Amino acid sequence: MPEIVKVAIVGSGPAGASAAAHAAKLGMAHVLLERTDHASDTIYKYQKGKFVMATPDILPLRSDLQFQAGKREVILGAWDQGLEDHQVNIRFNADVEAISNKDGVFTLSIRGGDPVLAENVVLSIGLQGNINKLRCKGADLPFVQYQLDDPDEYEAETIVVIGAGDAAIENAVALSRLNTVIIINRRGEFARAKQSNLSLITDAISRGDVQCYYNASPSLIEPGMIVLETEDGEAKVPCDRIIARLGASPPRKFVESCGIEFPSSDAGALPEVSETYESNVPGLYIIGALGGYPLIKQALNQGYEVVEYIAGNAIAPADQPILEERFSGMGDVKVNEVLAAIRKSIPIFAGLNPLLLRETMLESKVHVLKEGEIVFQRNDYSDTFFTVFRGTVGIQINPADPTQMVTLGEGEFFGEMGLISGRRRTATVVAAVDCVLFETTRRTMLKLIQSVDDVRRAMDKTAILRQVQMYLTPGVPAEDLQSLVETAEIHRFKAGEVLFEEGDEGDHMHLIRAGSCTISKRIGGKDVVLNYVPSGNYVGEMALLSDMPRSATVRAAHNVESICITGQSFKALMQSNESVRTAVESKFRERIRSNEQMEGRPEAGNIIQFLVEQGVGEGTDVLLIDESLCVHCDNCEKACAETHDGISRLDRGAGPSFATIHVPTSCRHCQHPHCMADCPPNAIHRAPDGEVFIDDSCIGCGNCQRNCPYGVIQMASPPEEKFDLFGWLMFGKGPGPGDKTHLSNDKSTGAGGDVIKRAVKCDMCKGIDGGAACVRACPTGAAARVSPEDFMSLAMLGR
Amino acid sequence: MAHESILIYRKFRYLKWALLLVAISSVLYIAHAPVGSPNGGTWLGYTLGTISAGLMVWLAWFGIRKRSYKGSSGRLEDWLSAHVYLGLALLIVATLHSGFQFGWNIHTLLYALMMGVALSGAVGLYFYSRFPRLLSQNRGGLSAEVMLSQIADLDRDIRTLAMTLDDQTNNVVYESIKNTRIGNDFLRQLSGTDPQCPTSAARHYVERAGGQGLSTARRDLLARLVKKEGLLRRLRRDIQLRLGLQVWLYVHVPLTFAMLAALIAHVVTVFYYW
Amino acid sequence: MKVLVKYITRKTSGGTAVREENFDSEVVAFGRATTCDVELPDSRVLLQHAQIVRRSESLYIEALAGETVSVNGHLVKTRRIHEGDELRIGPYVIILETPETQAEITLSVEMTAPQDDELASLLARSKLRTDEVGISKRQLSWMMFVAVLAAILIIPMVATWFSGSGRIDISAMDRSALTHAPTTLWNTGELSSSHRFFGNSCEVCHVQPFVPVQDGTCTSCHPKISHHADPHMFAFASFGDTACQSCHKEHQGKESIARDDQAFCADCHQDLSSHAAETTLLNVTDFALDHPGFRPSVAKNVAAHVMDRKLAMSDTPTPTENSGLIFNHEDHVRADGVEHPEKGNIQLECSNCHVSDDGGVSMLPISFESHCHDCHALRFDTQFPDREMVHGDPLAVFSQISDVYEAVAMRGGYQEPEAPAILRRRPNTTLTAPEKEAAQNWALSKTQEVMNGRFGRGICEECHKVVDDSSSPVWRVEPVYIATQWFPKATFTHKKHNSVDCGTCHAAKTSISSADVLMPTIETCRSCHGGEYATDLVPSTCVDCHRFHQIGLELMQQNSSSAPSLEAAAPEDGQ
Repeated sequence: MPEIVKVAIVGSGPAGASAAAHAAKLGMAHVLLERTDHASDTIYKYQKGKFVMATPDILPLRSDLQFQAGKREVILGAWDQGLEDHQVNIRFNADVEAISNKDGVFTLSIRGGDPVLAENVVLSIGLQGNINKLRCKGADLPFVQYQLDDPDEYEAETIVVIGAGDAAIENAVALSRLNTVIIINRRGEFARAKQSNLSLITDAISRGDVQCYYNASPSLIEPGMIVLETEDGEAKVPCDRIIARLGASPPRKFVESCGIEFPSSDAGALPEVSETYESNVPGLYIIGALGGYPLIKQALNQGYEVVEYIAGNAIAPADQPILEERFSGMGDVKVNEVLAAIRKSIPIFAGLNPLLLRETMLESKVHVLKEGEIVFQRNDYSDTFFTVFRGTVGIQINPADPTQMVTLGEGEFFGEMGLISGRRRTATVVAAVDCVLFETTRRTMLKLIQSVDDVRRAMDKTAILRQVQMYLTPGVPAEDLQSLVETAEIHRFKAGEVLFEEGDEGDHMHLIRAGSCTISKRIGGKDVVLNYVPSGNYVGEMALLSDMPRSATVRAAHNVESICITGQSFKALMQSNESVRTAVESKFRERIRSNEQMEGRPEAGNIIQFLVEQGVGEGTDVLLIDESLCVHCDNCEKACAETHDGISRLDRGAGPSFATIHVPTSCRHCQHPHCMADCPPNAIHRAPDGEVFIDDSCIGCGNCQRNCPYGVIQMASPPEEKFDLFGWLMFGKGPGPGDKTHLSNDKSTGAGGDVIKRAVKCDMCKGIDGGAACVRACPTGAAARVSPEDFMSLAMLGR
Repeated sequence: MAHESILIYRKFRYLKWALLLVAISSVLYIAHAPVGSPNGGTWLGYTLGTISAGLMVWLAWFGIRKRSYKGSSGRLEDWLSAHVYLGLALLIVATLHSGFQFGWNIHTLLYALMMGVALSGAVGLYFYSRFPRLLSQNRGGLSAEVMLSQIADLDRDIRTLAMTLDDQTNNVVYESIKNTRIGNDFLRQLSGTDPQCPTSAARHYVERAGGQGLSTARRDLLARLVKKEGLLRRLRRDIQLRLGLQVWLYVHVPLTFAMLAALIAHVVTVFYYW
Repeated sequence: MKVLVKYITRKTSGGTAVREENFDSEVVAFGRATTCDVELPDSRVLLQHAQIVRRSESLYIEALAGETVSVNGHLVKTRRIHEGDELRIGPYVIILETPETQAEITLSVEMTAPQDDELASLLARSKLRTDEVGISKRQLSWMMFVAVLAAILIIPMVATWFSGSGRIDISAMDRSALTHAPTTLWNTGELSSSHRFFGNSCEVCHVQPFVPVQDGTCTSCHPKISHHADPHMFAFASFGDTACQSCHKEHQGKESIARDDQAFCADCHQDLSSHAAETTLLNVTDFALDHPGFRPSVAKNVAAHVMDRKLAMSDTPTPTENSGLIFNHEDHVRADGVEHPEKGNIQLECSNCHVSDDGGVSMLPISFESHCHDCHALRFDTQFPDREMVHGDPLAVFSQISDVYEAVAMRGGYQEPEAPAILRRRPNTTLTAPEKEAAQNWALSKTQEVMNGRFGRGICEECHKVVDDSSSPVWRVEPVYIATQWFPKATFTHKKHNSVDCGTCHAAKTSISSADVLMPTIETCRSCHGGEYATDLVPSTCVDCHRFHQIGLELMQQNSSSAPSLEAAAPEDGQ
């Protein structure tokens, strides 16, 4: 009978290590189980010399391990040191296969090792999950590896890369520079890959840089060679190295196997835990990324706290003081009481577990407003989400007459339209009486929508109603729309997908609530774009009104979310409501007219088509250059560089052209910025005027650069030498304006090396009076910034 | 999108200014009956002279304004538009200042230099108004970078293709790859062509060599050579046009400096021998 | 024979990767072709480049297709090779190594000079941007700037400093002083004809750099230039230190730098009082339009020799003069002529008496001897037809006559019937004392008689005013005072008017009294002369009749000394 430790900690990441260290400090019997042969594998895998940030700064550190922003090596060193100093009982190469609970004692079975018994278990395994391994024989041979840190490590080798995902492709292409590379794809094409990577690999294959076996799977691995099952029989491939990138299976399955429940089936969903991080299985605690806390500092704190809880001391979470400060605006109130009140009075947050709620509040601002104070203005470009905690607010539905207001009471929310469409605010909102509001960041809300079902449901329902009211039937009371909203559903379309074809039966219409579409017609055998429809408009009403088949095809210009309204509910509404009919019919006539007009102007359609293909439709403010005026002086670039510490955020020469319209490589300030998607320190924001910008908290991880499909973000560090106008102009002293040769930014990698590189991108010269420098500095007026709404007019110029 | 050239910019605002200036000076000049014949020494002469000198310095200042990106002194387009029109106005104001007295002296030299600057400027203006369209037509949507990489890719294919062919062909083609140049010296860039482009030579050779029906390899090779030739032509034309957009400045700017020097000399000397 | 080929790839990290290949063949063929035993895939290698063959137990390398192979650095067609030999084919180095297990030949093949990247090399070969062709606007600009500045400003300036510039006194008309300063280029325009001869020595006038040309510089050559108005009376008169410049513009081309447009004068003279309240001059803008009437200078008080300077002809209908002379023009120039003692009846012309001076400006003075005497001989006694009185001094005449009668009294033989006998005696008879005394008394009385008689005083009184004078033994002749300059402020030239008959301007033919002023009125002039802009008349500007620089006024040179009064300055005073 092996001894039963008080706590077994699974995973030696920041959370686990911190917990173990604290347990050791308290003299608690413990064991720290690590799958690999070194602690904190995730951070261990960062690039060498990567600079790690300590966000959020406001959060105080509470752990027995040292941690402040610094180089990967330093931090890892400090932690190893800490584990040593506290004589933490750590077991490497201990891969926990299963956790079972029998009358209060957990049994952790270890792959190829004797199990561990513990009263409590702390799961701090993060989200990285288990790397999938090859299942064929020989999968563990030394020359088979499952990740690649530095492609340039290997040269003049014959390397077989297995897998068809982004990782596999990136590795294969990177390796092919110095090695003979063979990539093995189970399927007939690279379906899972990002667009950019897809073209990358297909080019490489067509050039012969990379050799590819399609529809092939490894059947046997022997030293120096791999045997493949291919369509035409077995193939023996001699090789020096095999790199298998088969992705990782998220830890969910394992976690569920431990009896832990997940709130939703959503892939991104996380298990629920109590304030004390205890899961629905008593004695089984979850901390760190798996508990929904991706930031290192949070994880460290939780490690400390969870051990305290296990030891039975109910200490307040580290963020208590911050929340107190947050709520201080409401007068002196107890944090817990407020949280309780929120749960009670705000339905959309009712479903959140205490920790999630805490975090949401950490990510929220508290606004205490006097009557009549403005929350936000129509056409503001903020994308935060508001909930009414106390009092009521009024939404001015008619910009012409501010007295027309829809009022929202306690527990209701608003601002979700901006959140969904990524467009400007559609109405001004004011405090109807003195009230208290919570303003929650976009990022947090998206996370909630993903992981908490009731949040999503609540959101959608209200959103649909409001959007219909806003865009389709202004001034129609909610109850009249009941049936329409009931039957309406949300459809999502990827770029290029068709909402409906020309000639189809028209039994429904779409209200575009996010993204944008092109309307095109078959003329002389080819699609001619007739119109461009940004979000906030509806399509498909023509067929309904005329009871004719679809007169044109509607295609998603980029990811579209539309509210699909059934034909009869729409017609019913039309009958019942005079004003709506007239409105829709006038729109109908207007559309016929413009279609007629456009059919005569194919070139204009082509321009729209072109712009859409360039993903410009996704943007909110795009820099275009009229080539018929551009004299290639590059003053735009120089101006950009000199107004942004020497680094130009724009590349005039690069980028495609059509007719005389040139789309240079520069940020379009997308409605749903790809760059925001995955920014660890949440350093990318949208300013009220719509600029998407990166603040100083950037840690230079390079995610945004990789995520941007338009390659407008670069990792760079400001040049040491500044441009000195007179010195340069008169005597050629120092770098010229926007002189690239004085810069050390390589677009390929993220941060690396000793100099800390930060992500830089266009910020539309935010905070520089006079507007965008590129446009101001254009001597011939070739450069102009346009928003999708201007496309039609732009195209009609038909140059 | 402001689809208007600097000439019609803001409904000829700066043209109007320029005309106003010219009108005023002309009227004054005609009305003014100085002692002796009109010249730079009368009060009007001094006035016009001061205005002209001011204009010259201001016009030259454009070079600095163009590069001072910080601060918001309006759009550069305004400045250029004004630069053009006031520059032309200067010709007249300065002529009136001279009172049509010319001779073999530095004062007339200054006048001549000013004319030179204006002339080169006019040429530049013409280029600016014409070349951009030619450029984008010639490029047909491809950027120079793309064309270059396409050529590089072609080179790679061509070399590997040629390796499968007889030594003679392989040699010719290989040499052509090694020796094909784009741009190079000033005149080449200006001419926009390369009479003895090795690629064309290679193409001819491959054509002739394959007189008796081309093998597939040869056909592929030939196709690529032709494609490369086309790209080269466009690229050279591209460079020529881009140079055109710059080259006039190599006259305009130095002449401006010469003019400023002459201006200094003019002012100093007329007062040195007052 | 069994062959082992090691394809070696050298890593940048330093290590090497080796791929081995075994085959069995009689000859080992090297070449680009895939069919070769040792494939050397590179453009710089021939399809079939070379081969290794074995003859009688030793190995030979043979180049194919007339090519050569380098063996240990020597280019050869064929050559026997041994272990350790280094062959070079294109970019490949092939070393014949000591045979390894179960191989008779072991070759290591290494690519030493791989093809460089197409794009990189293409870019390396090409120059795509203008600034790559190595012309710098900056350099050009500086060159031009410095060149121009040096050529036209700095060098000339330095040169003038060293070419011992400074004051050149041209007044001496010493041409040798004239330098040819290197600053010709600075000349803004041609010099006026009068200064043309300065050549390029700017320092003659431009004495001090950055200081306008001073009047002193002008007056050093033109000392006699007087003021326009008396600077002591009129503030405006001293135009400052650059007065000359303000009117006389140099570097304006050949023509004279003096001004002649009437506007220039009218500028002030159209409203003089506002410039000089004290002046007595009348306003004028144009000769034809508003020029005041002529105001000639005539004798007023003969005895005191005073001129009435401003006798306006237009004001008084018939202005008179009082010159002390009695003369009747009409009698002299009458149509039926006059009696001449010898020539008999003759017709007198104006020009018989009025002769213009050499300059043809004004008339020479009239004198008795040259103009009157021919007709008007001053005889006093028929007995002495060859004796004439001297013209001028009555006392002299008295003594002259008394001498004549004394002599005759002593000699006798005087034929006058009324004369006493003693005078009529036979000449040269001696007289007794009482006779002598009687003769002398007669002589005295006779003289008295003649002086006051028809032939004495009478003759004088024909032209002159004769008055008794107690202080003197005889009567006295009033002095004559005739104007020589009728219009002192004007410059009239008779010469220019030769073509015109005198009578046109001077009404002498009808003048019976010398009190008449025979000067023409302005109307007379206007009949031919108009203002500057006249089209049907002779265009005449102010300076045709007037000077700017008033002769007799203080000289501009002496900035201020005792100011002579207008009177004293008047040139015509004192005949």
